[in-house]
Amino acid sequence: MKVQTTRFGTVEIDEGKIIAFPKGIPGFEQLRRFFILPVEGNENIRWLQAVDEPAVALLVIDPFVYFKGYSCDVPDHIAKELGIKEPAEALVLATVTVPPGNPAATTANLLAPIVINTRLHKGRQVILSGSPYTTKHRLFREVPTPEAKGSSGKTAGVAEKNIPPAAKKVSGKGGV
Amino acid sequence: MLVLSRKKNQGIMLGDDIKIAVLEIKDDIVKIGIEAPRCVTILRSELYQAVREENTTAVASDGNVVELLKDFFAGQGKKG
Repeated sequence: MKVQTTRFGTVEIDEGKIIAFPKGIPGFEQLRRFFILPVEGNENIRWLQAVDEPAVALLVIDPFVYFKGYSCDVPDHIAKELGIKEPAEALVLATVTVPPGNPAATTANLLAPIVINTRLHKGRQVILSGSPYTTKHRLFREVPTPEAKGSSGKTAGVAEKNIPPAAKKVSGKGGV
Repeated sequence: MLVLSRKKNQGIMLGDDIKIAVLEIKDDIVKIGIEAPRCVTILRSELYQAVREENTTAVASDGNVVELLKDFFAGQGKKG
């Protein structure tokens, strides 16, 4: 099917790839259908685009890659609601917020990961209770100069925590 | 909104299995106890509000960050 989007123009997607969010997500409770648009060249960064609202797209990252040591305990009743039978079928994503005009101060929301059952294409944003995380974790630690924004990626600094071995980036999913 | 007045140690039932009790009233802080099935999510409302605001702001994010993130990873790759 064809989906209109503000950022990516008209996108052709396989209807089977649409992810149902029966409760929407906080702030966009009325939007129940999303799909994932990969970012070319990096499998750890994706867009979560609303099917029914062209302007709504959230940039999402793999929090386990960018924040070493991150863990999230999805409550049993939510895992059940999403029909998750084993951890392997759950995809956990963290939304990313870029402050206007200051991409170096980009933050990730580790408090409320988006959990998707990849088998049933069903998802929801889970607000972790009693969690040490917040909605704003800096993605880049140091910014050498304020005018570095956007022009040269080399000034992007270092992620807040460790990064995975380079091999992770290259190996991908072992492709079939 | 339903408004009820309660004294200390009095409570409210929500449906059959959610019990809310006022445990302590001190200055302008009220301590509330909640008994509910595990499947009921209990959150401070400001937490939900924070997530709402974060999502709304995130949607307005500048796409530039994609390039930043990619370059960041590319830099790591070269080192390895």
